[in-house]
Parts: sequence; C-alpha cells; structure tokens
Amino acid sequence: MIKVDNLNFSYENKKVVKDINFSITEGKSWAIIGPSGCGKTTLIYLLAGLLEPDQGMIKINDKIINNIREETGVILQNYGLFPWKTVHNNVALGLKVRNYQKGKIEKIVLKVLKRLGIDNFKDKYPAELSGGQNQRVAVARTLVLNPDLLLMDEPFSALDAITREEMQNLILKIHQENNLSYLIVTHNIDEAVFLGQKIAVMKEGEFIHQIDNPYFGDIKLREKEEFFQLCKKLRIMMSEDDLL
Amino acid sequence: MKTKSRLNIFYGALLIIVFWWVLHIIFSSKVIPSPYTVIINFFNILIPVLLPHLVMSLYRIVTAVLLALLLGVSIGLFTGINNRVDQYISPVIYLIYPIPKIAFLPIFMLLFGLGDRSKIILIMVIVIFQIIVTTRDSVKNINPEYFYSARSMGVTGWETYRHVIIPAILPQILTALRITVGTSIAVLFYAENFATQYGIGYHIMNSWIMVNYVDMFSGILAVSILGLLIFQSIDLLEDHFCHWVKVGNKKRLEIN
Repeated sequence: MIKVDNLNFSYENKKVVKDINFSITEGKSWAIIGPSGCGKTTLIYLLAGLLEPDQGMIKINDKIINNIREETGVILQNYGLFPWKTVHNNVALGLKVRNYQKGKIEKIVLKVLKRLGIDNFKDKYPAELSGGQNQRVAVARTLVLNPDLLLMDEPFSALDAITREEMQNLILKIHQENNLSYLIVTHNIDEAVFLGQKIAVMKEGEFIHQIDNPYFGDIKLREKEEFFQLCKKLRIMMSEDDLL
Repeated sequence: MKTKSRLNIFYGALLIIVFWWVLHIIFSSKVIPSPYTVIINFFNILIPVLLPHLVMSLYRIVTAVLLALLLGVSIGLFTGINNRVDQYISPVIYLIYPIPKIAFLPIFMLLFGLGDRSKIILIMVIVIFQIIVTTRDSVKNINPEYFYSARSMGVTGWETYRHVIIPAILPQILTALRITVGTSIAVLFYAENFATQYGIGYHIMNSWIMVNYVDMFSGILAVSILGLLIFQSIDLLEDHFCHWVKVGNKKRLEIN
C-alpha cells in the first residue's frame, strides 16, 4: 500500500529525514518510535503530502504523493481542531469542502460521533472538552472521510495514562473493524508495542531498527508477559544506541 | 450576564453623574451646568434637535468604519499572508501611520468636496491603519498547525480564508474596531466643525459659540450615548461570531 523509497528531507540545511525506505502492506500498522527531534513528525507530514521531499519518493497505492490524498486521515500532535468551530462543525468540515449534501453530512457526522461516544458534545467547542474528548473529536474528524490510511503524530502524548490506554484501545478497535492501515509516531515505548504490528526505531532522521511484533492485535496484551519482554527489548535497543 | 452588563453601565453612568455634579458644585459656574438641568434638557431637545444631528454623525461613522474595515482587512490579509508583499508595503504603512492625517482635512475638502465625502474619507484614512496592522499581525500569529490541519482535511484556496483565517483573526479585528470607533468619534467631532450644519460635532461647537452650555452638554451626553450604542453593537457581534473565545476563557477560569 505505502512504498517509501530513499526519502530525504532537509529543514534549513539540516537533514531531518535521511534515506528512509520501508513499505506497508494494506491493513497493517506501523509504530515509529524515537526521541523528540528525530524527524518523525516530518516523516508524517511527508507521508500526508503536507511537505514535499527533497529526494526520494512516496507511493500510496501506486500513486506518487506530492499533495494531499483524499483517503488519508491525519491526526496532528495538538489534535489540529479549530477552536472556533463546534465539535459538529469540526467533524463536518472535511465533508463540507467535499461538497456533500447537508442531510448526508448530518447523517455521517452523527453516526461517527455516536460510534465514538461523543454525540452529546456536538454543540460544544473544543475548549469546553477534556483532552481525551478532544482526541476523540480528532479521530471522528478523520473517520467521517472514510480513510484507508490513518497517520498519527504523537496523538496521545498530552493525555493521562488511563485516557491514553482508552484511546489506544479505540484505535486498535477501529483498525480491526475497518481494516484500516495506520502509522503512528510516538515517543512512548508501551504505545509502540501495543499499536505497532511493525515497530521502527528512528534516530536522527534514520530508521536504526525495525522489529516485528507477533503479539499485536490482542486487546489484553498489556497484561501479558510478552508485552513486557518486547518493551524491554525495545528499551534496550533505544538505550544501546545512546551509549554508542 | 446581560442584566449584569446593564447594571454595570448604570453604575458607570451614576459615577460620572456624581463626579460631574461635584465639579458643578465646586466651580459653581455656568460653564458646568448641573447634570439634572442637562438631562432634562437632553430629553426635551432629543427628538427635535439632537436626533437629526445624531443620525448624520452615525451615518458618517458607520460608512467610514465599514469602508476602513473592508479595505483595511483586505490589505492586512494580503500583507499578512504574502511575506514579500509585506516587505514592500509595511515600510509605506509605517511612514504614513504616524502623520497627523487630521491636517489633511483641507486637502480632502479641495479634492473630494466640502460635503460628507471628505469627512468620511478623513475618518477612514485615520482608522484604517489600526485595522491593517492588527489584521496583518493576527494573520502572522495564526498557529501554522491550523493551516496544516486544514490542508490535511482537503481545505484549499478561498475555503482556507472562510474556515481558518477569518474566524481566527475576527476577535482581534473586533478589538481593533473598538479602538477605532473611539478614535473615529473624536475625529468626527473635529471634521463636523467645517462646512456642515448637521452632525453632533457641529451642534456642540455651535451651542458653545452661542454660549448655550446646557445645549452643549446635552450634545456631549448624546455623543457619549452614541458611543455606548456602537460599543454595545460590537459586543453583540462578538457574542454572535466569537462565542468560542468567551467559552474558552470561562473554562480557563474554572480550571484555575
């Protein structure tokens, strides 16, 4: 589904993404983990078509990405919700600019809000909601567009531990129900292990490790020994490289 | 909330009247008539005398401010979005902004005639700069994540103005509007001293020349009420279009 070839991107003469290659098959999920400033946000922006690569190529379903792709949903770090729009209008925006009929917009929006349990807040503004509720709105906003790919840039970093796990479960559920491919960027080891079928460790613009996660997809994974083993393995991988 | 704001206006008015009354007692001069006499006179001459003046003044202010908004916001958006344009236009704005444009009234009168047009243009030229600078700076201060977010949803071109830029800068524009309304009333007062027989500025100066201080103060009272009405209208606009700002502030207060 996604094929990334020799991707390079510089920001003010500093290379932030260096020779990245990977591919994601349909219905799979990737977690990219790395410290702040390792270039993972830039990678998401490149995949979303919000930035253009200096070198290399991104293909999604055999089409070269040089602009926004309609079927890609993007969740930015601070949710990206517009504070001047109500929950309903934030979620409806994507449909509105795609010229959907008003009645159809209402139907789709309400269905998705209900699915995420936030239909009670549809007339509220983002400032009136908690972090977790806003995050659900951000998820709803991408789901109404019926994406086949979801790109998430540290989506849950501002949430408390319990809400964060709830949101991770929600993403896993959506992934399983909709056969949705996604790529999540995070600096949280637990999150990478829970949400990544494949986990890539990124450092200074490069993928330094890629590991498979055979335990992915189990909603109760966090309670199991294998989870801790894999977290430990990942932690060692990340810290080893710090010592070098 | 509304009754509270009305009550606040009442307290404000009461405070001014008390202060005015004290001055009246201290100076005991005709130059400061008692608030009571003025208020009675105000209501007596409101319909036959003051109203035509007020309507004329309101027409000039509203026209000038609307034109300034239309032009000022457009120029501000243009310079705020295009950095290169800003590089060329900003120095021009900074050079003209501090000039006391009120001195140009005679020139405007020669160019645009003695009537309303020159007065409206004068007010417009004075208030437009605050609107341009506010709009430009507000656009530059919009969090870039909003633009990325909008683009990722498929929002492009004019839709970006409609869904992102205009709503994001509207609160600041309304603040600029409040500041400029105060200025425009002051400028109007000056402009209405020339070549006109209508306008609240004319009425005040005319009563002064006729040594009718009670009429003059009634005119001042009318200006004050006119200002209040305009400010209240801007508040109403804000309640309607920028409800989200209030909601956000309220939530922040609750958390703190």
